[in-house]
Amino acid sequence: MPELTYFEHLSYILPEVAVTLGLCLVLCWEMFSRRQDRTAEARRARGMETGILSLGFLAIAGVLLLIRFSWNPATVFGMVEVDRFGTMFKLFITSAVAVVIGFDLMDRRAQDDGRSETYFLLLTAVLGSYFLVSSYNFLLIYLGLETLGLASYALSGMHKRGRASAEAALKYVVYGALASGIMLFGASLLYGLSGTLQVDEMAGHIVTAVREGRSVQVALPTLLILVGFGFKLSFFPFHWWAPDVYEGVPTPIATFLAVGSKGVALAAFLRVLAMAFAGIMVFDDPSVGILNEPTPFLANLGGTLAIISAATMLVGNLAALRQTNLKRLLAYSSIAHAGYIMMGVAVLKPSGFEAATLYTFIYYFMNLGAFGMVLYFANQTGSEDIGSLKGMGYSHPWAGVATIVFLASLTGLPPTAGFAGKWILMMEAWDGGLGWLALWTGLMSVVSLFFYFRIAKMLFLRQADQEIAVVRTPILSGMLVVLAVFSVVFLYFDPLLDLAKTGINDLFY
Amino acid sequence: MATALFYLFGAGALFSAANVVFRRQAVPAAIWLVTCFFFLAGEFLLLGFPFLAAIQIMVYVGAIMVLFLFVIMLLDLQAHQPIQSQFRHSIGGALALVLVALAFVAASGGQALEAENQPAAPEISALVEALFTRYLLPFEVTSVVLVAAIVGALTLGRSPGGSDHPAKS
Repeated sequence: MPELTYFEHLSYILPEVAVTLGLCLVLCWEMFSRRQDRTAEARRARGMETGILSLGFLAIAGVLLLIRFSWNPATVFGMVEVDRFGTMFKLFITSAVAVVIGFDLMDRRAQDDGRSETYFLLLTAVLGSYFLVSSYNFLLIYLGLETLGLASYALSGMHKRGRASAEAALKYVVYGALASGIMLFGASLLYGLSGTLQVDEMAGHIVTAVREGRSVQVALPTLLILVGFGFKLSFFPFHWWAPDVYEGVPTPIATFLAVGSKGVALAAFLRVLAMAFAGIMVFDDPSVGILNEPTPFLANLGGTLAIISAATMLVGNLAALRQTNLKRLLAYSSIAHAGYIMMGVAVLKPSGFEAATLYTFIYYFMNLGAFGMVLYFANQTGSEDIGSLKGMGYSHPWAGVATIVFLASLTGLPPTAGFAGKWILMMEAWDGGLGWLALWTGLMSVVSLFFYFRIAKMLFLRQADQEIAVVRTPILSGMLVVLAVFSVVFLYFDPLLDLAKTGINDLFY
Repeated sequence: MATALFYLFGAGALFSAANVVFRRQAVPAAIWLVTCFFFLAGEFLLLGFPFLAAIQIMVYVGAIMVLFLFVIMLLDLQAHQPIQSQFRHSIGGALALVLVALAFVAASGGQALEAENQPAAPEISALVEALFTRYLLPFEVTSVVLVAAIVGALTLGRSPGGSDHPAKS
């Protein structure tokens, strides 16, 4: 590839540039339009303006990403890989944050102050995610993770809803700082081993170390780096923050933490694993035609990930059984889903990574829907308690039916996308020698049926205590219905799987 | 001589770090952290990175720790409230320490971890060149991180009942 000039490099990261411009403008908007008018209407209008401005810039970034999707992979700035895997997940986070901003604009309980800061921080998180999912240099990965992290901490702390939520936010910051510190330590040990920050250049040293029986030197940093990603993905034993934080923040922010930040953390994790360990993974590589010998190191890594996956499912599903707050319940449910996704990662093969990516995409639709459902009913009743849903299914048929679809999909019942995704994950685990984990997942899905069904039971099988006036929110209902349709349509998952395959292909070959 | 100094500074750093953890009062703990940073700067100097040593002292000791002390004194924590700790937390900490130590012994196989290709001590000019060419993008991303941190801090620090932003019901 010929040497590119600075501006040619820049042309590859135009979506990033667009988001950066957007966040600067959102930050300045309220400053320039700061009329002395402090009435509620004026403040609401300003919140609206910045929200629409952010959506506009996200749309520009989305279009640029779509255009870029057909480009050939390229490396710019020596550390950003512009490939379809990254672009895929950038579209994922862009659309997820767009939905989150939409949710926030429709949240009737949202405060009007601090809206522009919320959108600014969400856009910053998008920018961090862009670099996180496309970089293979530990410095930039860390910076991306930290941008995402700082934005998330601020987002979870800025809505002062009393002592418990402040405590949750503080815990989130402290654990988050610790986790990223531990991850940095792991990365610096790998730097000591290889003398480089580029994961692709580390790979050679890692393979040599493992082949020469010095695998502990790789295992220790790998475990430390796992802590950093584990915190973001909220898998066991780094999941403690999630329920408290989700409960303490407004629903749109919880949606962002559960869907957006988890998805991009998974993408970065997959990229690091694929780049660092492709040389010792056991799979048929059509370009080389060599089947690597299985190594004890790989078996141990896979085993560790599998145990983490099983424990995460157990903790998430069992704890969810006892929850009465809808957002806490969904927090534990999203922990359990991190466990399902990790099952595909634990296989440590391209096909397993494909299954994990596919499930993440399906998770995106059904979880956005589930959190949207919480927002919808909280708009109606002003409560996030599971008891407040009594009999709401009859007065709100569209949202009620959509909720049933999301719940079925989260449980993994046919005929929904959740079933297809979970089925493929279990097949991959079975083929990858993790049969016990596949069976465990089946068992855990049965457990999860109980708490998901409790929501459905409240909606349709209980009588309402009193009549609550129906508040018409056509846009939100429409979003829920569209998400529900997607959650069913993707039972026919071939296009999504093709997409995941294309992306993972870019990672490995 | 250099080796002896290395171990001396190392022991000093460990001792001060332990003091940071075990001191019950916030201000002495912070001062011990300053001491720890000085010892670490000495280590960097011995390893041939004078610039890093200077930066360590200027940024961490000069700026960050002074800020810490300001915050501690602003909150007036020093005399009245010794930091509480619980026995079970100590057990957890001790367990983590032992496990990490074991992991490191296992990782090194009983020998010191050695970098395969020890990077040469860089000139400051080389450092600057790397920062503005090879690492230009991370450098620019850092500015966004900082802006996000500032906005986050200001938003968190804003009191809900402040004059600029009247409290909402």
